[in-house]
Amino acid sequence: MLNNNVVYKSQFASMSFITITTFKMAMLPKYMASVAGRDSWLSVIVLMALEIMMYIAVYYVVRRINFQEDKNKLIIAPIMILILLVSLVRVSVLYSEMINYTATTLFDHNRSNFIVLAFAPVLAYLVYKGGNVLGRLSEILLYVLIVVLILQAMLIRMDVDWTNLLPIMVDNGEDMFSGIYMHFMWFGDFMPLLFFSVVDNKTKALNKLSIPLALTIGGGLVVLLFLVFTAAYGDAGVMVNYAFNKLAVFNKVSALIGASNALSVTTWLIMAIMQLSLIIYSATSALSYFIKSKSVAILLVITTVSLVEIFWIQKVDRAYVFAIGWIKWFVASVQYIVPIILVVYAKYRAKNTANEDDKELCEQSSNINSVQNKSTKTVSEHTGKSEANA
Amino acid sequence: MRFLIKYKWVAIILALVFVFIIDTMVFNVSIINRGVAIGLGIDMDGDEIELTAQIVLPKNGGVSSGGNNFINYTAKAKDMEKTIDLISAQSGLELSISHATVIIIGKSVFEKKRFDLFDFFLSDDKVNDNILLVMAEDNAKDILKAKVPVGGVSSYQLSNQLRPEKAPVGLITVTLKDFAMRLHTGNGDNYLPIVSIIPIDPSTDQSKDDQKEAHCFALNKTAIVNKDGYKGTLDIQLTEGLSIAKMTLQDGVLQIKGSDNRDISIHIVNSKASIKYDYEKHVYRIKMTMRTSRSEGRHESNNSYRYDMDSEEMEDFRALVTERVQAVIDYSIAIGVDVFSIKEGFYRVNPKHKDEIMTDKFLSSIKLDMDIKILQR
Repeated sequence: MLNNNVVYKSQFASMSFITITTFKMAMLPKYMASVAGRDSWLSVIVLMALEIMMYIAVYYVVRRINFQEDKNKLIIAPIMILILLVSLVRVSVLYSEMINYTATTLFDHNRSNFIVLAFAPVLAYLVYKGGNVLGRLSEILLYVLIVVLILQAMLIRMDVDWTNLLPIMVDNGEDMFSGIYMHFMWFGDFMPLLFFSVVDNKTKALNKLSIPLALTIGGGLVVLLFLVFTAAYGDAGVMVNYAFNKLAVFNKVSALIGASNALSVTTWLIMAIMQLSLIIYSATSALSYFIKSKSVAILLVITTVSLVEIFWIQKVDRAYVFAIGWIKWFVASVQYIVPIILVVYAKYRAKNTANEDDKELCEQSSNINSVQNKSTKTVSEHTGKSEANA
Repeated sequence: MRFLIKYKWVAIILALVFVFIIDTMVFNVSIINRGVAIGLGIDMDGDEIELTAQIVLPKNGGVSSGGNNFINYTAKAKDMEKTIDLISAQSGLELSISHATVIIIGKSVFEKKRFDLFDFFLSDDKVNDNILLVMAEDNAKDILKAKVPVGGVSSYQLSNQLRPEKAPVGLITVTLKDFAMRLHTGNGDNYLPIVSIIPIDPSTDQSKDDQKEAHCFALNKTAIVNKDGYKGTLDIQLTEGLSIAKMTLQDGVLQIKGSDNRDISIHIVNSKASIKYDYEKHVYRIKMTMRTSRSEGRHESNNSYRYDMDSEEMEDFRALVTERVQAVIDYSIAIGVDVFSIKEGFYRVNPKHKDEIMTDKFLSSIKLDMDIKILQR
C-alpha cells in the first residue's frame, strides 16, 4: 500500500498545472485541427470546462478521504480496477506520443524501441519514490517552466492572422462536437490526483491562490495555444506535428541562427515524464490495492506498458487510431463518472463518520451523566446522613 | 527495487552506461559528423527534384567558432527524402536541415506545381517553420553559388536582406509557415519574394585577390502563385504596394511631387495596416497608421527648414499609397489570383454569403477604401 501520498496544496497545484497542460500542447492541436478545423479552439474550451468540473470533484474527494486506504472493498475495489484499466489505456496512447517526440527531436531517425527501454527505469524510479516526490518535483519544474515561458514571451517573433479563427461554427457546430468527443483521451487528466492527500501550506497566500492560479493559468495557456496555433497555421495546422515545439521556434534567436528551441523541447519532455509518472503512479496505486507489494505492482505496470509500446502500439499513428476508437467512450465514462461516485461516497462517509461521532458523543455524555448522577447520589446520601446525625 | 535504491550510486552509474549503450545503438550521429545546412535550393530537372544544400565546413573548434568555409552539394532524385540521403552520401556527413535559414525555390518548382514539397518541410519535425522562402528568378542553385561581399555566404546574406533590423517599403518577407497557411486556404493564392543576382565589383580585400567576380541580391519583385502554379510577377512599384498593405514596415522612402514643385522623399518611419470587410457596401477597408518625415523643405513665411508635409502634400501622399495598393488589386484581378485574399476575408466574416463571395465577379465589384492616418515626426 502506498502511503507517502501526502502533498502540500502548492505541490498539488503544480501537479494540476502539469496535468492540465502537457499533452494538450503536443500533438492534440494537429489532431483537433484535422477533425474540428478552425473550430478546434472552441472544442478545447468546452473540454477544458469539463476538465475544471472534474477537478472540483477530485479536489472535494482528496480533501475528505484517503480513498486508497479505505476499507470498504465493495465500493473501492471495482473503482480501483476501472482506474487501473483507464490508466493503462491512457498511458499507452500518451507514452507513444512522448516516445515519438523524443525520437524526432533528440534523435536522427524515427521511433526506436530503445527509447522505451531508456524511459522505463526513469518512470519506475519516480513512481517508486512515491507521491510526495512527484509533488516536490512538479513544484521545482514549475519554476523552470515559468522562466521558459517568460523568455519565450520576451523573444517571440511571429505573424499571426487572427481571422483564421473565423468563421465560427459554420456547420452548426458539427465539427466542434466531433472535436470534443473524438479526443476524450487527451482530457480528464485529473484522475491520478485522486491518489493524493492534500494538506495546507504554511503560507496563507499559497493556500488561497495556488490552485485557482494553476487552473486558470494552465487552462488559459492551453486555450491560448490553440488560438495562436489556429491563427498562425490556419488550415495548414493538420501538417504540424508538435504545436508547442513548432511555435517555440518563432523567436528572435531562431530568426538569426535557425532552430533554437532546445529549452522548450526539454521542458516539455520533463513535463511529459512527470505526467506519465503520475498516470503510472495511479495505475500502480490501484494495483497495490490488490497486490500488497509496491515493487511488484510497479514492475508489472512498467513491463506491461513497455511491452504494449514495443509490440503492439509501435507507432504514434496507431496510438491515435486506438485513442479515437470505441475505447474513448470507456475512458471518458470512467474518468468523468468515478470522481462523481467518489464525491457521493465521500459525503456518505462524512455523514456516517458524523453519525458515529454523534453516537460516540452520546455514549460519552451518557457515561458522564451516569457518573455525575452516581456522585450526586453519593453526595446527597452523605449530606442526608450528616443532617440526620445533626 | 529496494536493492537498487540501497546502492543508488551503483544504479546511477549502471544507468549512465546503459544510456551510453542505447545512444550508440540508435546510431545517433555526432555533431562532428553532421553537415549543417544553412540554406537550401530546390529546382526541378524534368520530374526529378534537384536539391542544393549550402553546408558549413567547420574549422577547428566546430561550427560555432566562426570564420567557417561553406560548400554547396547538389543531388537529384524523384523525392525529397532521397535527395537528402544522396547529399549525406556525397558529403560523408549526415545532412542536418534544422538550422537552415532560407529555402530558395526555383521557378521550375512552381511551373511543375510541386506544392507537396512545402508540405514535406512543414510536416518535418526537424525543419524550422520560420525558415524564409524566396523564389529564384531562374535557378535556385545559381543563387546559392553567388559570391557575396567579404566574409559572407549567399544563404546568410539573403536571410539578412530578407529579415533586416528595420523592414523597408518594398520588402516582402515570407516564412514557410505563412506560405503553407495561404497554400492550404481556398485556391492557395499566394506570394513570395523573387531574388535575382546583380553583378558588382569584387571585394578590395587583399586576402581575396583571386576573386574575379562578386554579386549582390535584388529582392524588389514578388512572385504570384496559386495551386495552378506560377501566375505572374509584381514589379517594384506593385511590390511596394503589397508591402504597404500586408507588412509591418519600419523604413523606406516613397517619392511625391512637393508643393514647391520638386520631387520630395517621404521617409516611412513605421507603418502598420489592419483590414476590415464591409459586405453590405462591398468595401475592402485598409486602415493604416503611418509615421513619416519628409526631406527638407522651406516654410514660405520665414524660409526656415521644415521636415513635415503640408496638407496638400499629405493628400498627394495618401493618393500615392492608395494608387499603389489599388494597382496590386487590379493586377491580381487581371491574372485571376486573389493576392490580398479578399474573397476569403469576406467569407470569414460573412460565411452565409459564401456562394456569392467566392465568384470572380465579386472580386471585381469590391471597392478599396484606404483610411490613412499620417503622424509626422
